[in-house]
Amino acid sequence: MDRRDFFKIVSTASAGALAGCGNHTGKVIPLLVPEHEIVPGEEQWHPAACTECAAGCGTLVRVMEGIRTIERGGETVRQRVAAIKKIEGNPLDPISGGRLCARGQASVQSLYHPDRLRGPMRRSGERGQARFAAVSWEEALGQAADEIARQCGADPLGIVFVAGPEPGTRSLAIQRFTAALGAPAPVVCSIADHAVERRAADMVFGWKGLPVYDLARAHCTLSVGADFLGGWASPVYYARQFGAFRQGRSNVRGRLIHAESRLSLTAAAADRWLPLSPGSEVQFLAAIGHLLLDARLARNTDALPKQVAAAFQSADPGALLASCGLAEKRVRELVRELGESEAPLVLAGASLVHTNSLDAVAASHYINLMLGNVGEPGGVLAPASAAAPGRRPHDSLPDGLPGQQPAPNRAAAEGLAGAQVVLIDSANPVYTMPRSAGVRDALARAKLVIALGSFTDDSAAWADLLLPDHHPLESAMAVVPAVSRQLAAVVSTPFVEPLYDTRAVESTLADLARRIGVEYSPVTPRDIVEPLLAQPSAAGGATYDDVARQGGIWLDAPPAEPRLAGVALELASARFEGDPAQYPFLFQPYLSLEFHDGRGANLPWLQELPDPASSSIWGLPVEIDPQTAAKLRVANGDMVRVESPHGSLEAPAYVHPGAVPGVASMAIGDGHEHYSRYASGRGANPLAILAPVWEKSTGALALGATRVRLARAGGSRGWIQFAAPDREERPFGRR
Amino acid sequence: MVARAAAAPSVQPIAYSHKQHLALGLECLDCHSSADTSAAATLPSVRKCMLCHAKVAASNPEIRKLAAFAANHREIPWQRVYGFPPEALVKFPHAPHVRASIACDRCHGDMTKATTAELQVKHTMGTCLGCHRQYKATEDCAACHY
Amino acid sequence: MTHTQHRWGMAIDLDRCTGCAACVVACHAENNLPVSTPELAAEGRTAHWIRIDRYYQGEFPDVKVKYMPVLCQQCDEAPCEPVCPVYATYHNPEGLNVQVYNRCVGTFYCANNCPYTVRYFNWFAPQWPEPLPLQHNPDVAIRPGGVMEKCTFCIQRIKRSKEDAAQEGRPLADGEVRPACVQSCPAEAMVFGDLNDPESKVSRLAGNGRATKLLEELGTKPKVFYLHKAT
Repeated sequence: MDRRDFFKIVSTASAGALAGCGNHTGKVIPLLVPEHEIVPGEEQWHPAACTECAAGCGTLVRVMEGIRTIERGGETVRQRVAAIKKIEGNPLDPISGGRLCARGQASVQSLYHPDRLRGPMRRSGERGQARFAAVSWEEALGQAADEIARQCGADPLGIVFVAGPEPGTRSLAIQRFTAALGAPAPVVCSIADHAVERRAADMVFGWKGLPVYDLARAHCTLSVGADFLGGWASPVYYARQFGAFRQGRSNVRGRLIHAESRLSLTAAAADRWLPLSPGSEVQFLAAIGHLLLDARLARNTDALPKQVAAAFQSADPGALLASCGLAEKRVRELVRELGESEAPLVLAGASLVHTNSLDAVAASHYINLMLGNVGEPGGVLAPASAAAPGRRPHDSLPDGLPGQQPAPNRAAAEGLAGAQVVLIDSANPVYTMPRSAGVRDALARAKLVIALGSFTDDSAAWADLLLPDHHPLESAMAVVPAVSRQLAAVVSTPFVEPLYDTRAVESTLADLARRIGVEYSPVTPRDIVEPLLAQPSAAGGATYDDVARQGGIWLDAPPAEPRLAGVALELASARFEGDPAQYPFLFQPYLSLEFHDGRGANLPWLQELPDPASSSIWGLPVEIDPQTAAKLRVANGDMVRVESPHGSLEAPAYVHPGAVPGVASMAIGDGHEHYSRYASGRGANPLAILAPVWEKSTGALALGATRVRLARAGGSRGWIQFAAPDREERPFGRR
Repeated sequence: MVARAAAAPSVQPIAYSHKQHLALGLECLDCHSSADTSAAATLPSVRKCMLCHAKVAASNPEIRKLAAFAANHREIPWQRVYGFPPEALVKFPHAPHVRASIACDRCHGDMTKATTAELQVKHTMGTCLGCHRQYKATEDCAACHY
Repeated sequence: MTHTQHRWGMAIDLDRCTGCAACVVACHAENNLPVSTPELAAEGRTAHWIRIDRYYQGEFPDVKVKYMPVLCQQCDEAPCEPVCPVYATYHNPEGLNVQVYNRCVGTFYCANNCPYTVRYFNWFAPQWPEPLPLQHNPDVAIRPGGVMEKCTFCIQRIKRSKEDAAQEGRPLADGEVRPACVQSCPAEAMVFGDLNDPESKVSRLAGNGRATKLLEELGTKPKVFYLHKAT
């Protein structure tokens, strides 16, 4: 359909719910765009789902004629195909609202990436060397099925399926596959699964899934530890909310106070940034709670569980704020501003997980409770999955989804340790887990390792078999957004032919199950969508085709009352590994908007996107404060050695005017051993040198729990700064 | 920049005759059906040809070639006669010209006399600008070059 | 300079902008910008038609960061125009500062004269490894080596929207033309429209008390308006 036709659907469907009143008499969306329907110069727009992170944005994809050059029988031929030109947001989708982040837009480059796997391959060198030879699907699947069947007979518990955190058809297929084999449930291995935030919402409010912060209607927001405009839970959604928070109302301009140990995108956008000492979020929030109670600004103290109120009251704000590295007087002023605001909101998360992060996020929920904003406009709202009546539509989905707890990183490491057969999909444990977690050893020991991704990445390099997936834009799928007030599924229908000899993981798993001889029912997007269509809030008569035609379904969910469990407030200090005398700095590897957990690094558009902090391109620096830089005698671009008790790396320095003294930060993204021509062998992976330290209650990898020492390494390799000046040389315009 | 050189009539995969079809009363837009609505005039798909030729002149050797393409679900690899190569850095949309009632033969010559498509009118910047001046259409460079 | 029917302009609200760079990738995808390599980038040959300037102000802990998307300001008194010896850069009737690739001989005078440094030179013919060219937007020229290029305000989108409106026999609606950067912006910080229409959203924002123009003291008369961060 062309843009106008799509927008006709937009004008007849309300964004809040599928208004599928059954009067769609137009032709059903084409499954694939046949060549004769591609008119040169004419565009078609098809809805799809973004799978670059768990946010689950609905997209609109522009399809036009493309000419593909291929080798056929020794000669070069030009083939006319339906080609994807651009990815935008789907205006019907309440998450993206028609907008899309840099990574979502760049994902078309992974479809047309020159180094995408073109068919199944078998290892031809040593494990880890990434040497493979092409093999037929028949041979590859035969070998995989034989070895999995043998392991099933011997010990099905030795089969470990490592998966990503994105819920939907993929995760459902994997869950059914492992269940069919009698193998353990799939382990979600991700540093972006928000295990801490999920557990905190469950613990305090009894909500399953990530809470939704109604930022657009808040008046004063205190955000703590959550880089919600950067690499946190749902960047497009929260950036849209932020725009409306700031300038979307005629009489109110939202004020943002942000407390974080790094000058992140969110800190930069804030009216006030409070540079916290790393890991002191819970101490900070306990002090805020105390000061609010003390100033009688907590308007809803009755709702607070007694032992929590007592814990806040007995807190010593002076000592706590000193441990956060903040001046008490300044914080008192901000607390007054927050408490007196008509619509105050505390938005806390664990962008940088510490050993005590769960306590911090839980404390923030209690503060929202005392501010009376839970479930209110401008407050913290229940996720849709918390309140769906009857059988919850996502109950059939595996771990890491709304409705269930994610498998924490520690469990992934432990699961891999004893694995005999490993299957890896939408995860890159060799890259995202610290070296010290032993993932490589586990993969080297396993009898069989199968990678299902589109690229030979760090983990696929250890595989025996590569069974490459279609690109998401070539696949039928449904994904469930991570942050949503609506019961939702975003649906993709393939509309371009697969470029290569690849197979959707769903069909690869079905094929394997058939060969192994276990019962397995293949997964389709209908498995996710049909339970939603059966919800009372779904429009009567709406069909799966209606959903597919508009790219998803978003249903209003009834409000969920919090079920307070009254969990005690703990104020434990964060634990850091390494002797402070030997390793005097704290290290913060962080998820950036452009590279996320490192997966964006293979795309040239993202590599040449200047890093928001340092403006570096094609390489990421380690960010240090000016005094430390002076002591180390390093300037921008000079190589610095970062050494932890578990390893070391070298990276160019960026002398960051906003870096917290004593803390070295580094965006995750560089240092892939294998990940296409654009990422392989360049830069350093900050995750590699982390200690195997986990958040104490959830087992999430504590990204910020490793101490390091810094030294000048000499030389300055590979540092390219896009825009040189850090400071403005002239006043900005005239007022 | 001169339009792409003409393909000699004989290199077309099927000896299609414009003259014959136009004499039967077909209009340009019947086959080049997007010329009035979009940038590209477009060539008809083999399925469109077969709407008539499934029955009409089915035993003609040229129509047999056509039927073979259709049977194999392959489009006819017509050789392009008009058009600008990418390095010409120029965009030409048909629709506004049709809307301005510029007759097709102004740029494509008298096709009622032509058999297989061949280049009858040279498309140089002079051709375009001459007409634009005559009709007081835009002479802004960015109208076409972007 | 007098303008005919339309006079295109943009307003960027820095109180909304988060520096997320969605606009930068949107522009790359829309306008067939060459893909660089670390080697080319090290020589300063990475092309961006829109970039995010970032500035630090103050000292820790009172450091402030300012992110500011900078694209061609489409100046009414454009310093790049009078210096071009071959008239490759000129002002069109809709107020766009146009670069005609066919005419450009690569003297570099325009880029030297641009105070906003938003012009990029194709030192080499750009290369895209197969099959990346499948993504190319057929509405936008693939620029050859040796020519200057810069933001066009997505002139291809202006034309497509005008053509859609003409086909339907109606005037262009305010907000109907959205350059790729404006379309993508999650915080809706960027607004595009007709400055000749006093009721257009961009005209109203241009008259906002927070509105200012970049380096306007140079007399360039930009048509991009920045709305200062409110306090």
